Amino acid sequence: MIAGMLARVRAVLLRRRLEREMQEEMADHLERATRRLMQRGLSRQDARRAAEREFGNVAWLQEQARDARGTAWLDALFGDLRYALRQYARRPATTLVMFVVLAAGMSITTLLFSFVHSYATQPPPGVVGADDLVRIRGSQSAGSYGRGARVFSEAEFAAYESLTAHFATVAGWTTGSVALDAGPEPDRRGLEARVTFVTDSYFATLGVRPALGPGLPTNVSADPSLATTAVLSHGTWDHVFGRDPSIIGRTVTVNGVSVTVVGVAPERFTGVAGFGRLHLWLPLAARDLLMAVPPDDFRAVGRLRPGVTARQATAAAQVVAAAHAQQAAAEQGAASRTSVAQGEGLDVAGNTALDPSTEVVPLRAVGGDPMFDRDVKLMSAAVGLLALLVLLITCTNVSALLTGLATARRHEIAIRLSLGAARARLIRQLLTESALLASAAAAAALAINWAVLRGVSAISELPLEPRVTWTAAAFTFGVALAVGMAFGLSPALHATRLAVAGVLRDASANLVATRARLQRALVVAQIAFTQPLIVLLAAVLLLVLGEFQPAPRSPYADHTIELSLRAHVPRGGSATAAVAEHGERLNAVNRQVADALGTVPGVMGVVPTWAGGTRIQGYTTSDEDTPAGAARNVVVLSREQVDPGYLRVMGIPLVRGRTFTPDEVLRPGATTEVPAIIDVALARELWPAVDPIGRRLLPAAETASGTPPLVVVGVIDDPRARRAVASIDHFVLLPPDTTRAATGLLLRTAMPGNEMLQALRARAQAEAPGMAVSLQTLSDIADQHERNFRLAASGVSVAGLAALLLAAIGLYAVIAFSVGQRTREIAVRMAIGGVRPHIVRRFIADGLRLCLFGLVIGLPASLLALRTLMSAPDVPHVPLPPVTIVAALSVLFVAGVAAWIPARRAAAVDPGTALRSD
Amino acid sequence: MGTAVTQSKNTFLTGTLELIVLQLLAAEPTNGYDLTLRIQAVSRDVLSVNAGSLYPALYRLEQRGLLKARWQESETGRRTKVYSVTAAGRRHLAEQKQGWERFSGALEAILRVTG
Repeated sequence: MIAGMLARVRAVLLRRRLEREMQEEMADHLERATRRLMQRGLSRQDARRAAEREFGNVAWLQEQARDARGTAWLDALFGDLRYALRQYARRPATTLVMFVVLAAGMSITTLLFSFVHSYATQPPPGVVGADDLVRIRGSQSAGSYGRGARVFSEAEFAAYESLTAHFATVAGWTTGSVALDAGPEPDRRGLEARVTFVTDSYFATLGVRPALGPGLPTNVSADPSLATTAVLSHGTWDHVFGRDPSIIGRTVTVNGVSVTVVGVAPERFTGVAGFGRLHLWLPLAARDLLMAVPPDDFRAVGRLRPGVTARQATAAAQVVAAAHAQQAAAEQGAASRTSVAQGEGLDVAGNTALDPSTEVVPLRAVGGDPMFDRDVKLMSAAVGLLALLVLLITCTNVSALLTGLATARRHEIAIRLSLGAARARLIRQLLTESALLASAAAAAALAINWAVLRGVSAISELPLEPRVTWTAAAFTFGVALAVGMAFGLSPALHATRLAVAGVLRDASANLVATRARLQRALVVAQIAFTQPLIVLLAAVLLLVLGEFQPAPRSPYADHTIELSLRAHVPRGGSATAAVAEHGERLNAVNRQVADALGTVPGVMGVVPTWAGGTRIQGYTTSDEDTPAGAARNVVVLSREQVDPGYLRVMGIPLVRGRTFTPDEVLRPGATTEVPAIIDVALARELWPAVDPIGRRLLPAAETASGTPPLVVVGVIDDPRARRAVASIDHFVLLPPDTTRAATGLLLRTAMPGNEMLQALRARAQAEAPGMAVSLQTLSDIADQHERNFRLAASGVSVAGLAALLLAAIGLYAVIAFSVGQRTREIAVRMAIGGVRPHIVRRFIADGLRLCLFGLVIGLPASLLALRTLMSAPDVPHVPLPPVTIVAALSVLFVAGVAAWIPARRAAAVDPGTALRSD
Repeated sequence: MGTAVTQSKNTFLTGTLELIVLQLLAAEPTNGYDLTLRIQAVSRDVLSVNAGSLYPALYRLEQRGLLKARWQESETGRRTKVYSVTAAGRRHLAEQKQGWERFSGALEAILRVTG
């Protein structure tokens, strides 16, 4: 059996040599026979002739022998391929269109699949993942948002670490921000970097080996003297150290502490969740040395023991979670460890109604947050649907073209049949042609994808690493091949079933009619598929436009600088004392820096800022503002806590009322009325007729308890509130919580801010040594946002245009071909006195009728696609009818042009020529 | 039409020709030409195998791993391809022989009864 297979492989590989040997062997046979006959007295010539007679037809015998060796098919294949190439060369335009459509379709489909695949089913880049690599994920109720992410305390994490019956290893980490001094030069000091403090088994569990150096020691917990070691991210090594190969063993200063570099992470590895370029990994033991307020927000991954399922591990983890929830409830008042996806600060500490839990799920590039589980599924489904639509359009395109070609080739097939070609041989020929086209297009698609993915990973900082997934590529190729074969084959099956003479006499009008019907059906199908695709893309584009719309800038954006300080203060006393002490110290430093910068010439004003923007759900107007019997207006407010001087520095005009006074503050958990400044738009919406000053806003019923009522003290005309697309929420300014450390300063400058950055930076560093200082003008920040937005929008637009183009090419080719097929009919019409414009109109009308038919059929799919998209929470409303109408009109327009050009060309042909040529 | 007849003749021949080829080559490895002569001689000129049947049969058997071939220098200085039976070929031969003996025994019995 195996010997036979080996012989077969050998026969294919050594085809030429075996062929030569066969010839030699047969020559030897003839020579021996001749010699024997000569011994009997024949002349050499006669003997040779007799031997050849005895031997038989050498060519036939060699063919038989090749059959026996099993390589005859290979010769036939080469013949078929040559013939296929000649066939395609005879119709370069159609072939090119089919090739482009197939290649583009396959490329788009596999790219879409690849993105979803790498995002939703693959571990983060650089992580060596298998089914046993899992995320131990905390979750808790997030009110109307479903369930949100929950981080672990160190104690809870340790409990998961001890679940050794379920996990082979468990690794945990907690993150913080630090100031990195990479060298003595001013621009290498005070760099803000992210740091991940990791347990000993972190890198081993993730299967990540450093690109350079030995990596973190794995016994730090036993020997804390090893704590001051760090692995740099590849980006840090690249940007800060210029890829210095002698980096290992060097000392850098992190939050004032000397740390030895022991490794550089591989380029692809960006941690379990992505982050910015500057990043360090340090042992967990370094946390207390470096951080004034040691972060205690643990996340965890683990490797399951062989035979343990994620479900079993989840059951064990839930027991741990429940025990810790009880303990936490008992220790009411402990610091909040919540991180609700919309931002920190919903006052939910110690609330047992949060229903904390823990699940063990496969580690994916996406989703440490259960809140996005649904989004990811939805997105995967939408992208998958999109990919499938593109594939369907591609296939109908190519099918229609192949069907057209087949009609044109029925003569050729009939002639070959009449000359005695076997039916199987013809079928094989046609299959070879389809396979050749599909393979060539697949090769082109792979090349395109390779280039695109390289380009994407070069420019994007996304924490994913899209790769061409072979399953998707194989699936796409398989479908393309199957479609090509099915439609390439049909003419052979049809033609070979028909009486040869009938086809040759062209009496097979039925066949032509069948083909035309099939082709028209394919045009309709194509349009039916194209419409939902375009509608979906248009909707996504609108969503992107709506979601990522850059906020209108303050008129002084160029003259406003945002400065952020990341502090390190040596720690002492208890944890809670440290938090308060840290906050006060940071505020003190902020004030000191603010005072210092305020004296710099050219600085017109300085105020502290607090990172905010927490979305607060539902506020309603109070009873006296609600007409009896009317439903209360619920508005969603986006809160920002600002300093009293904020409006002045930002140049935001106060329309009515006043700004805050220095003693107006918002303490966490406050239930008394809090002064608020609202935007004119909101004022108009809520109190169109009356003065808004002094009016009250009450928390809506479903808003978390502990949210204070608001009383309006001022109305501003904030340019940022004027958003072009219906805004999701309104801004409301609230007084600051001065117990929380300010996160930065806002500076208004007399000259363009960029010219002062250098001087201001030097001054701030002098005031706050050892702190990470970063400065940027608001313009630059906005520019960055806009760049991201443009990238996203142009990506979607390009995809949409590509889909439209694909549809247009297919539509054009199909209609052009079917018109071309009817050149004879056009000629006859012209010959019997048809008027040219009239005939052209008829064809356009015909094309548009098909198109309309397709649009009507595709409509339910379009609406379904839109509804699915809209059903996701948080998706702003997209006006359905206009989108659908625009999509339909664009398809109609393309169909009209596609019908017009070939019809005009056909009508321009001289009737005599057209009739004679057929 | 022509093909169909050739086909059936071939199938009839294939079984027995393979048996003959294997048997003779098992006795002594040799080249294709000498094999035709030997078949003729051993069957006392009853069976004459032409090249058109022999070489495909040889290639098929080689393909199935029942024969192996190597090139040898012949006495006249020409390169000649000598076939010999592999271990698998010998096993196959034994099976085929058994089958044939059963078949011919049965046939003989029938002929004796009805004759």
